[in-house]
Amino acid sequence: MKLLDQLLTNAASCFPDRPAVRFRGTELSYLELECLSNQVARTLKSLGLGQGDRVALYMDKSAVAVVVLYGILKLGASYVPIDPLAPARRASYILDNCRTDGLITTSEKLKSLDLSDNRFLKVVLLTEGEGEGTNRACQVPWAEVLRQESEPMERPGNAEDQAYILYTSGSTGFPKGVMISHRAALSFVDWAASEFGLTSVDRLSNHAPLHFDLSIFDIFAAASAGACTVLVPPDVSIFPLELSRFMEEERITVWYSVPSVLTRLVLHGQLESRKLDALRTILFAGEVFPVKFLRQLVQLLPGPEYYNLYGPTETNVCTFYPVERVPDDDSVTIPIGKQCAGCEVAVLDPERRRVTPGEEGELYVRGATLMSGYWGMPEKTREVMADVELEGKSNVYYRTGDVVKQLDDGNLLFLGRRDEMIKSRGYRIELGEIEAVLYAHPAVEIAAAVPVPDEQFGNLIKAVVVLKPGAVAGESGLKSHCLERLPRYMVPDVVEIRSSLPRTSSGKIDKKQLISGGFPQDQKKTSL
Amino acid sequence: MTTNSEPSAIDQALLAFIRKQFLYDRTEVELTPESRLFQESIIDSVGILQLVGFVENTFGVTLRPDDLVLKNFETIAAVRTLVLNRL
Repeated sequence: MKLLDQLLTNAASCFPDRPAVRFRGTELSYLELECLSNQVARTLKSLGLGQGDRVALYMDKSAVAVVVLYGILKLGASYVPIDPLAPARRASYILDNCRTDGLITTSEKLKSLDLSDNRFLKVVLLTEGEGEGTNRACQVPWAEVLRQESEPMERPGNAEDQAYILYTSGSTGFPKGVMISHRAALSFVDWAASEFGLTSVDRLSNHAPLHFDLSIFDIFAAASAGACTVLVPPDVSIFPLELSRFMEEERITVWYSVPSVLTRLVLHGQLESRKLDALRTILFAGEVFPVKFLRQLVQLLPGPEYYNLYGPTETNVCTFYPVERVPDDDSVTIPIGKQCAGCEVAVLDPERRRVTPGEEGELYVRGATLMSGYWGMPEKTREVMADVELEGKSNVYYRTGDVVKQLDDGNLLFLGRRDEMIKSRGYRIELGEIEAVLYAHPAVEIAAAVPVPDEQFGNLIKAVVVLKPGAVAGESGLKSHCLERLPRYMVPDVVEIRSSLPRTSSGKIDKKQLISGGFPQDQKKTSL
Repeated sequence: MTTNSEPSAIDQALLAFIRKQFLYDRTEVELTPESRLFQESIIDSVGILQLVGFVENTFGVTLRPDDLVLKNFETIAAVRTLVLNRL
């Protein structure tokens, strides 16, 4: 298999009647998914789009979203999923920054976007509703898709073409687009499908949103085995009790999510009352899983196998660790394991020499699953895709920014970050991006964002600001300023206004002191 | 029982909170006590934490684990019923 969408075409010929996607009780078979996505590809082609173009997806998760995503791939174009809950301002930025040629959305979402300055968009396909003449692009209703032939279209295909571009938080205040080729995605998907033994009777949950790379496994590894992907409705995923019922009713066999979702299931999902005997494998990735909650999860659900997967969006999954036994000590961290998926990892010192096992160093990754680069950011790409000479051979490695050490048994242990990236609720957040947004507020003189460790969410975010002399602003005003510019998970949970910030002896803002201050006492914890 | 526990006062407080917290940049959304908070993407998984916190702090109620299900939070009217049951 050379191209991601061939996984679908292949599944449609081997398992035409098997369920491919389920959402809120409705189902598309592999044949239906194949035919509908062919119709989408033909529609986009008839409107002048083609190989190498970028087509954005700005819509809530649904079976249609999966149809559309395959349709874009079958055109030879790359899909660019945009967080449907992101502020319209951020979505408009991504459309402009990525120079997307096409946009697939609903008429309601389209209304919220500001496309007046967008010079790139040629085509808008609406999955719901009718278009209005709000911009220069040609608007087409879904009925147009259904008029097309459902036969596969001749398509140009190059494994090095970008399959998708995922936007992640950027430290300079703007999100950056990670470009992943068909070859890179397939290297991961093939490894995962085989390592976890997926077959056509499996039912995979899809908890992550489509702009989050965990969804690549859920959708494409399922297709490679003819298995079913059951999309978790966003409203169900909000309530742990609903989520555990969903797992039971949908008879999920392979679960994949960030650990904080599993922690909430342990604490509030009443897992002991659910019949989850179909569940055979639980995969987690994206942040550190506190051992305390992992142990409780394994006690509640002793049946499944557990795996810790590791890898930034830029590398896909590059190491993994099968959890044989949970340590008794709560202060111990589960390793991220050993290299996989045709990747090679190296632990290096600041001079890019290998450290001896047991010593701390930065994790570098090389292999087929690596990104092609950041969209439109050659300098940023060069910063992280480094030529490294080891044992006399020079190769391109991705530097993760993650500090790790190798244990005696060869497994790697994640120790922390080299920079100011943090994880909150499994999302990757550059504190600099939050600070840049705060600095854009007219009343702000100095701003600092710090993580406040939290058992359930990994980290909560606190921002501390000093106002300009004479300027007036309150916590709620500063928060709404952030809400208009940042996805909700990046908006500080607390904004404190102070007259000055603590400084280190070298004059830098003393973030350690800000972190140790925690949250004000009246910050009540909720029971969810 | 607080003085603000009349249904209309509860609705008003919830409407004001949700408008300010979640709909600041979506003035086109018409929010009513019957609006579908999750299906219309007004509230997400981060937002629900803020809503639960607001409900517990503002109305002085303590929600039980079993209360935290979709049907109790689907609409403002549903949240109002929940609050009245727990006062």
